[in-house]
Amino acid sequence: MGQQTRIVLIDDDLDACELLKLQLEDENDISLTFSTNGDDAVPLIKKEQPDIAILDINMPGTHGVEIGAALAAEERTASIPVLYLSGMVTPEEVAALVNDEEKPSIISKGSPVEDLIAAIRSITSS
Amino acid sequence: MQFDVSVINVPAMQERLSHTVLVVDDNPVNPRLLTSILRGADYQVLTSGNAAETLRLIEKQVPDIILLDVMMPGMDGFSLCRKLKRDDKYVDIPVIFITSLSQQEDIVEGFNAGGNDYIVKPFNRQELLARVRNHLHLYDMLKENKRLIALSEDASRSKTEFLASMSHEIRTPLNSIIGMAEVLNGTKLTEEQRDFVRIFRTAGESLLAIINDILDLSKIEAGQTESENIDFHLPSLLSSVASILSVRATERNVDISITIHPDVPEGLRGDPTRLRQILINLVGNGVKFTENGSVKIFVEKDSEMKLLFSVKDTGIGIPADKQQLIFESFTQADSMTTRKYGGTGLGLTICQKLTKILGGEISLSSAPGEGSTFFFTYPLNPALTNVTPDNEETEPATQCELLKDAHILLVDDNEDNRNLLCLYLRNTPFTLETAENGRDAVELFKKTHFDIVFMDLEMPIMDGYEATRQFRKWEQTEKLVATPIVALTAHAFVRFKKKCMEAGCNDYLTKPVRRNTLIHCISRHLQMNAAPDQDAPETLPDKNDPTKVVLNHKIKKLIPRFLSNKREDTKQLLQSLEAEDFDSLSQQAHTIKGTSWMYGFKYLGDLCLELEQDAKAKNSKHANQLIETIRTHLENVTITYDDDLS
Repeated sequence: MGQQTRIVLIDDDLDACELLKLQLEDENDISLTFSTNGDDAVPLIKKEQPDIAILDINMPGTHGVEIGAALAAEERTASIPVLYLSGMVTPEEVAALVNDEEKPSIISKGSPVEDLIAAIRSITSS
Repeated sequence: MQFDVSVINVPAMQERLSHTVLVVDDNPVNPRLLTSILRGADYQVLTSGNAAETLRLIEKQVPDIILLDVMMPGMDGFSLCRKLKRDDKYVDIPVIFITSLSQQEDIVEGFNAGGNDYIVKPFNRQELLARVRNHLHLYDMLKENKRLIALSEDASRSKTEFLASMSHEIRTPLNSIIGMAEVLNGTKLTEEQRDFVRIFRTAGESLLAIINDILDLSKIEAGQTESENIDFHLPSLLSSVASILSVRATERNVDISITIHPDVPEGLRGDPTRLRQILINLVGNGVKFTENGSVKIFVEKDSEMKLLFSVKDTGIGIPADKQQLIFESFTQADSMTTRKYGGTGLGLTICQKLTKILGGEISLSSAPGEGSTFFFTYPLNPALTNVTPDNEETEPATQCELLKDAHILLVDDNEDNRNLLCLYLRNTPFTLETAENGRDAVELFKKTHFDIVFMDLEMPIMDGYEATRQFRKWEQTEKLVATPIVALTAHAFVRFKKKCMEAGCNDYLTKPVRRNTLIHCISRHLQMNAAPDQDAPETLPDKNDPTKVVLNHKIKKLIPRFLSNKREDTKQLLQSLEAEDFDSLSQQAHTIKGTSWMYGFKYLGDLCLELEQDAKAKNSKHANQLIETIRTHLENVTITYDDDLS
């Protein structure tokens, strides 16, 4: 322990960001920075160099997956693991969608926060 | 909706006397020939040598028909035609291509470019004139049609406006009549005086019923009726209909009975409000036309898909030749009937239109002296949730002692209305302050704390919409908790409701307001605003009740802002829907859905999911209902935190 997990969250809804900040930072070893503007995503992640980037998929203007692709294309962000948050699908649908149960990369907004924390843990432990 | 009447209002006759033909051809010889033919037939002729010149020319003078060459330097005839047909100003002007291109594919391309006709050179003079005449004739008819449509839409708009304002004008004094009767009835009266009060109160209520009928019908005719799709308990609905009409039935010695076939599920999904309205009309009619007899309601399965409702009375009956007629507006079996039994003759018209909206049909079987039976079918959709019988409505007025005290602001320019509300609130723990217009209200609001505001909308000096906006602005700058504002108006139209919500009102009451409705409304809003930690629940919240949400106590501090933000978001949903911007609506619903789920507002998220799907399907009617459901849910939701429960 003692090692902080640093996360950058991009979600267009401020309420969603504040909720995750509160919930994730309640786990004492996580710190979270967020932006509600998809256009800030790449510069912010480049600057922060977080352990994980959490991206909302469906946002007006910028699509989360586009940000993911931009991160992968950028040398300084390519190795940062990305977790997608989606309101598109229900937890059941995500379960059907993601084959790799060990390292899920999409988490439904309908899932309990524990699922998200578990996903973060599984990324940081590997 | 604004109509550009200037274009279509030109008197049709004047047009016909002298049509203007524009000839577009780069070769100067052809126009000369065409011009002489056309002038010979009394047309005015304009000419142009290329596309650019044509576009400049028609800016100044719009021709009635265009004869268009295809092969021209610069933009060719097909492209010019496409450009014209894309422009609302020129789309209707007939275009006839005149060209030596005679290949099948050229002709097809000409029509695909939006051309109305195609003449291959060399042409026959008579044929050319016949075609020009034909297209001009069609064009004139099209313009005349558009003019008539604009006129009739104008008329229909005036009719709706008239109904709206008439209903407003009549409801305002009715508010005082019915309200004062209620107040008077609560004072010390002799038996005789009580009887007088009862008569004027009943008269007021019948007048209100007639106005409501007229409004209902005009809303149905204007296509403004929106049907619900919610779960309800059928036996409870039927008993409520019988109980509403029981007083009248007893007076006339008519027995109302209900029989539901055991095959019929108790829980149904559909539109209980409209179904109740149909039944009240039919059973009410039965009671009205029967003396010393019975009205029986039967419900059975008509097929797997439909229920059959029958309402059978032992009254005067309807002669065969009048049976179709009675479904028409303002028609009763004969004018004697109206004099003897009263009513507007709108009830059955409304029933017929409503059953149709709900997906059923209405019919009747009757003979004079033997009573009538009205049948209607109703789609059979079993309820999706477990529906339990409604409890007898608890009268909130009797619970006054349970109510907390509250300071109320009433803004209304009408003195009678202010007095009436004062009287309504006598003997309650509520204290009332009043303002006569929006401006005074804003000043008062800045000085005093109020727990709830009732706001009339139409007032001199500053109206209720503006006052509400200023209240909200003040609260924002002062960082105050939003005070519940309830709009109070005689307008019964949905769009006024939308307008108040946009201004920042939380709720809406239609005049005439009854005492119980008012008190119920106050207590509902005050409970909603009560801090959740003050009212520790005595029992576990009901998991099936979507208005009760249990949340993680750790996120408690985020909840007030979440709720107020989502209330704001709901207004944006409505704006997108009104602008028919379905992409934004879908995106907004999607965002609210995700966030609501994350917070633990499962039902709210699910409603938004449904809304998102409606937005994608462009189902504005259902979307509108959903937004209303979302709005009410956000108002009525009660929150418990998991640490309160242990």
